[in-house]
Amino acid sequence: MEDKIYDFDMAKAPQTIIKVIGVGGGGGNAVSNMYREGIRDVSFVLCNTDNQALQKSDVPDKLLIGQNTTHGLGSGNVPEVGERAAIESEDDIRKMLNDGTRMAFVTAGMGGGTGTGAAPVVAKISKDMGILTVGIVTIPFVFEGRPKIVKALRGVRNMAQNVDSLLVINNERLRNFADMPIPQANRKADETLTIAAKSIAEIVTTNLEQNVDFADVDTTMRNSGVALISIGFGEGEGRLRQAINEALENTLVNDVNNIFNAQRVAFVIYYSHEDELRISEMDDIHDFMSQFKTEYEVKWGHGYDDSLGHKIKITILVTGFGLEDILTKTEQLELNTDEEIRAAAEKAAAEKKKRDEEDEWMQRYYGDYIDAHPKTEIVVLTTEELDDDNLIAFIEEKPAYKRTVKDVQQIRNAGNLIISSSQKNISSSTMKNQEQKQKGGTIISF
Amino acid sequence: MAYTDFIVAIDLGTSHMVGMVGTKNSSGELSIIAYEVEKVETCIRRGCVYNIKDTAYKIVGLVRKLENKLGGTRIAKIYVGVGGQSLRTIDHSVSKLLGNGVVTENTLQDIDKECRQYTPDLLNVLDIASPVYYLDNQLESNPIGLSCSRIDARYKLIVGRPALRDSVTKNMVEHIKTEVAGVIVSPLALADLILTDSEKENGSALIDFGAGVTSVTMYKAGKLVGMYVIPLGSHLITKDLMTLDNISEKEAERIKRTEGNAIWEKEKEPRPIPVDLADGRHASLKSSDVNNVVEARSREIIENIYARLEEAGMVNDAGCKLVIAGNGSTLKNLREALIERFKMDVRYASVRKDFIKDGEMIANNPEYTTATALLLKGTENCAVIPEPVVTIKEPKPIPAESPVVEQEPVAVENIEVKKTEPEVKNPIRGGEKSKGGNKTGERSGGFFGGFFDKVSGKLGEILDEEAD
Repeated sequence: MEDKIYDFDMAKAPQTIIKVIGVGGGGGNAVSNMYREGIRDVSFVLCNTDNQALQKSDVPDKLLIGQNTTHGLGSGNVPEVGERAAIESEDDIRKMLNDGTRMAFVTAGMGGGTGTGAAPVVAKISKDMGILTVGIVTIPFVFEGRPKIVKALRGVRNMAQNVDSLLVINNERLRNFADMPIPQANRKADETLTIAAKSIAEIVTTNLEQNVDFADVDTTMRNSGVALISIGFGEGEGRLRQAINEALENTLVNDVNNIFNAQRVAFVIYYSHEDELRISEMDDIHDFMSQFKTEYEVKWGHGYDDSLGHKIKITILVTGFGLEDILTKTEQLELNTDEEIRAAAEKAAAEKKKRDEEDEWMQRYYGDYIDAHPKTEIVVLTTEELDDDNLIAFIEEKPAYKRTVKDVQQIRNAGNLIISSSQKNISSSTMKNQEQKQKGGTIISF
Repeated sequence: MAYTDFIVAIDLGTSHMVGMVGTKNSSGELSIIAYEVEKVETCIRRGCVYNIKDTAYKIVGLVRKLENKLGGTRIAKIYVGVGGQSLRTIDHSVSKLLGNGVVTENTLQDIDKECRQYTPDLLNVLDIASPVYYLDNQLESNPIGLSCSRIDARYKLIVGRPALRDSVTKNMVEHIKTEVAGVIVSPLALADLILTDSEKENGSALIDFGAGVTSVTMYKAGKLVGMYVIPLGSHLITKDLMTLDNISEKEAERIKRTEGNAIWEKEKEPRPIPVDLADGRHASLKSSDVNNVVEARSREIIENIYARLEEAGMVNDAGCKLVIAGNGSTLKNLREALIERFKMDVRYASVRKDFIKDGEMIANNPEYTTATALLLKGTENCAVIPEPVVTIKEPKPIPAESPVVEQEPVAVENIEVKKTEPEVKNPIRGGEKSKGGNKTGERSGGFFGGFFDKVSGKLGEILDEEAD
């Protein structure tokens, strides 16, 4: 592909600020889809440990990661292998991103090896470079089995820690999947990823009548936690209202009600030259906007998409979810409605349920092999420490089941000075030897 | 009917404060007349008086309630038990060079005097357990009459922070307006009430699982080997359970009682345990979480007990057994957990029948056992009566063997009794009379010997006139 001709072409490819990176099989398929569909002003890269899968794709920019770790043969569904592969190829990933990219989508299907393990690493590298990094991940269908789901959820947690914004798409929420053959369902999942990434990219790249640009998206998505994206279409009488309703129903994500609790919101309405947005439809927009309870301005735009015909399309992007956000929002919630409080409680309950379910499944499959008895740090006091108020207060305050070795050592080190000085005062000789031997005490961990 | 001669004891527990009135018959058997409980909120922490004023207020309340049950007799003084954090034994030895002389009663008295003069820095000696004598480094149980060049007396001093005693004596008296007849070391008193002579002889440890502290009192060959107060109690389990969710203390306590388990039990399917949250909502805890919390803390307490026994050389001793007392000992599977850890026989405490005439049921209630033990250590009439009608007859030490006072009765730290019978304070006095091989009898006789010495010293005349 390298020409030997002098390369005077300064703008060889139009400078793109958005890069879509597909990591692993699912991510790769989604990116290949998007590439075939064509989104303007976006560059595409595939990252995989599986050379065969990379070769299949039409996307020209490919990065085989972890050549020493996997020898191009895939990660065998082990996230740790995927992670190691990405770490091994850190320099290559950095080089790949270091081309003026301002915004990166890291798309991956969670639950396998490469996507689950490598995508968080890729995201981290990207975010560390100051690139607005948006993770778009799918989580498996229920029929794919609990172990895969648990693995996927762990991956989601890792992703959330390493991106500015994370979109989680639960395949289970895809409509009509029950009648769908499995290969088609899998394609549908890839398609979902495509739609999500494409929709956001579109917001940035399309030149709208009332524009929403990169800066707006950056404001909406930078360090914003969990995001939701939703698309709806409408046609005929009350088409915008239809579109909005469809978008709300068909969020492709969990917690539909939460949309109105979002901290930041952006939406874009598309229509064709044939059937443009009308003044009469503005009422629907106002109704919709008034439902958001955010302090931030709701950023919105509208523009042409002539592929729509008489249809109208709305893309809603909301961000600012996540466990931490729920906690810091507690005060706000109190000021607001019961609905919000309920939503927060529901979310916490869902988290807990998720954890319990994981435990339950662990127990079901591994119960006979693993003793789930958690580790505890027991403090055995020396005779001197029996009257050490600081240490005792610490032991009282911090239940044994929550303690760490480090906590205990810190407290003990702080107390050692006092102990050794008071030790001198006990003149009983036999006692003293015994004490010295015991000084520092014991920590037993199980 | 109005009682005119009785003993009053107050047990200052971390969760409950118990006041008890009892009387002893001629053979020293105790009859419990009245008892009252006061809930301690926060004024006592880890068995130590934390807020003197509040504690005093509650003691006054207890005394008033007890008086209501005494048919009009007022209470003049009380015995107070101490058993809180910082209380423990330390070793102290006194040596004398005799230059091939013979050990006499005087020698032992001198040694004892020297021991009593010893005051460790920053610590207060609350009691002294009888010593073990070594003549030229040879253990000798009855050294009198033997010759040697050097004699060592190895003592166990029961020590604690000065505040431990001061807070229930000088600092307390002005608030309660009632005299404190004596400060009694609770764990030792309890051991005397519960452990049998053969248990003390063969080796045993009494473990009192209290709310704020856990005390360990160890005996071997009839002697006190060590006594320690571990500053961790069963209330911590309740507190730990409260960290699982927004659970009130009362609810956590209920869960501890109904679901607490000292042994980790693997569950295939954790059960939900319904719980009422502090905000009124209903929720459920996972049985495995509760198990984890309770097991972790109780294991911590058990490991601390183990460390004390290990130091004292009591583990891996086939003859040793554990006796468990206190409300905390009712935790499910605690006994099993102890058996598992110590590989020893473990029994639940029950009071010695030979000491209790009336009220055995009450005495065996873990909440009241310590108060009962304190009563047994009390010697003075605590009633406000100018001339007491004495119900006590000419004393005979209970098991009717030797009149021996080998274990000095100093367990009772008599504050103002000193002037009346200074001789009781002398632990060697009994020792000289003791016959070798009669130690078991001596142990129990120890206390009562002292008691009767005292009684006869004080009430000799009255007995002559009235009691007989």
